[in-house]
Amino acid sequence: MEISNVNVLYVDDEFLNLRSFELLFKGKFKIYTATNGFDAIEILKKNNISVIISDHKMPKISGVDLLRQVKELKLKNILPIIHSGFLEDEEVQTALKEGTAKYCLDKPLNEFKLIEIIKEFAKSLQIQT
Amino acid sequence: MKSDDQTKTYSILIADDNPNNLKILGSMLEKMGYNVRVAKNGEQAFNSVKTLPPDLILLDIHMPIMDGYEVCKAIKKEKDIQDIPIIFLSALTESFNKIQAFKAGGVDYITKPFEVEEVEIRIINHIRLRERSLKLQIALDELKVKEKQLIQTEKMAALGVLTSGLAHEINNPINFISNSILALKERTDKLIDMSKTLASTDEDVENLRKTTKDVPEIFDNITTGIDHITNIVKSLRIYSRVDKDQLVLSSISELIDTSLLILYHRYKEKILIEKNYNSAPKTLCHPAKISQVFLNILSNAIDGIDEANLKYGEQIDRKIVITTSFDEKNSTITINFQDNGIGIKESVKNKIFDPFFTTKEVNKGSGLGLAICSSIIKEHNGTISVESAGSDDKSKTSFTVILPVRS
Repeated sequence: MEISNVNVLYVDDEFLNLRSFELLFKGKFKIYTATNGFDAIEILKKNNISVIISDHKMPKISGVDLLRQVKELKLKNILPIIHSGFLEDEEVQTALKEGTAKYCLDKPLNEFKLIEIIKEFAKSLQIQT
Repeated sequence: MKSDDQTKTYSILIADDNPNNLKILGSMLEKMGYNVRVAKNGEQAFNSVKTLPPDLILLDIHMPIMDGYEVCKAIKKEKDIQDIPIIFLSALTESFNKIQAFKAGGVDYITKPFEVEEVEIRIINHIRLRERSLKLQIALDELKVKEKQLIQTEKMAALGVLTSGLAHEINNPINFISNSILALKERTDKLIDMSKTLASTDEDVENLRKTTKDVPEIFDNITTGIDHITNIVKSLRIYSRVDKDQLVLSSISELIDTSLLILYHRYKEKILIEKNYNSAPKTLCHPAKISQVFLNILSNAIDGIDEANLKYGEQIDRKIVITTSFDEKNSTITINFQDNGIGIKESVKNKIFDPFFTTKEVNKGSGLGLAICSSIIKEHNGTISVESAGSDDKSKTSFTVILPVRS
């Protein structure tokens, strides 16, 4: 599977983070964005999302809580990623340990690392199908 | 007489110009179990006290060279011996003499001829009093250190709340600035490529070259700036965990770098920092506290170098060498900080970890920095020590912290 066909959902309460993400990755993969966990769940239900990247510190639903809800949806082939400036945060670390999040990406985002991760995931999808 | 713990024998100095008195009183006290020293005149008494301070002094008033009042006043002026209790022993019975004796700093006055029992009780009382006041002083000092430490912890906790909030707030703009720069760079590169194909004349090509020549450098500079801000914010994060009492798996070299980053404005351009970090495992510790220890040692090193520069003129080879090493056998990490600043005098070397000891000017140092460092390192079951060698402008001071590795 080409990564240009991968649907990526990016969740962050900061509008400029969403917009700069779109502007940077536009054309590289398909981008959906949400400013909060509720919207994110709605988008997940309606679209075939393969990768969800969420900020952790958000009002109402934290990133880790959102990813826990995603886990409960029991969607097939979805890669959950946390994007946070606080990698040492206990909640984030627990989420990584229990597999709620597969990766944790630091802020500022490393463009190449993210593309690498998505490529790798796209490859594993291909093997499965 | 023995102390409360029954191990210490007390020493008493008797000063009297009458050899008979010395003999009688001396043998009497020795029978009671005291170590007795004698002095035949005031000057001898003062010198004897200075060389080897006794636990108590029995002082006659009428003596040649220096009389008892003078000896007492002289002793009260010396910081190291001023707290030794002095009991006057004299045949003078006028209240005038007694008042003189108490004014000079005596704690008691016994008139001759004396009752043996009375002398003994007075001696015991004053030794006990002195002992208790010493214990109280130590307890008070400890309390003051604890209090300062508590205030410091409170401050750091408040700072932690502030910095973690700040770090989070800064992380977001850094993130979208960083993303935007990358996006802009991609588009600019494309634009330059497209312009190249569109440039038809030599003039166009030259103009394009001139206009785009600096573009890569401009992007590099922005990226460097973003990296710097990112590192500063990251290093502040350790303070966000100071209020939590739990231990965090931390890299010692990262904690040193954090301390260096905070002190950067104080050493940049004038002091070279040489780092010899050898690989060591991460260890469980209170990162903010350990970083505070490093901050203190480094800050003292910078002070020492500043002082040396002030005294001997600026020298370009002023430096701080930081070495870390891991001892696999004992499972300890050794961190050594060496500077070539003003150095530490041999006479004060043993006191620098004592609370309230400072060589700095009034209001410049609390005298608690290294005392707190020492208690933090103790709390981590480690050790902290100092070596200072050389003199004048060629001093070397070296602080060594040894921490057991816990994981």
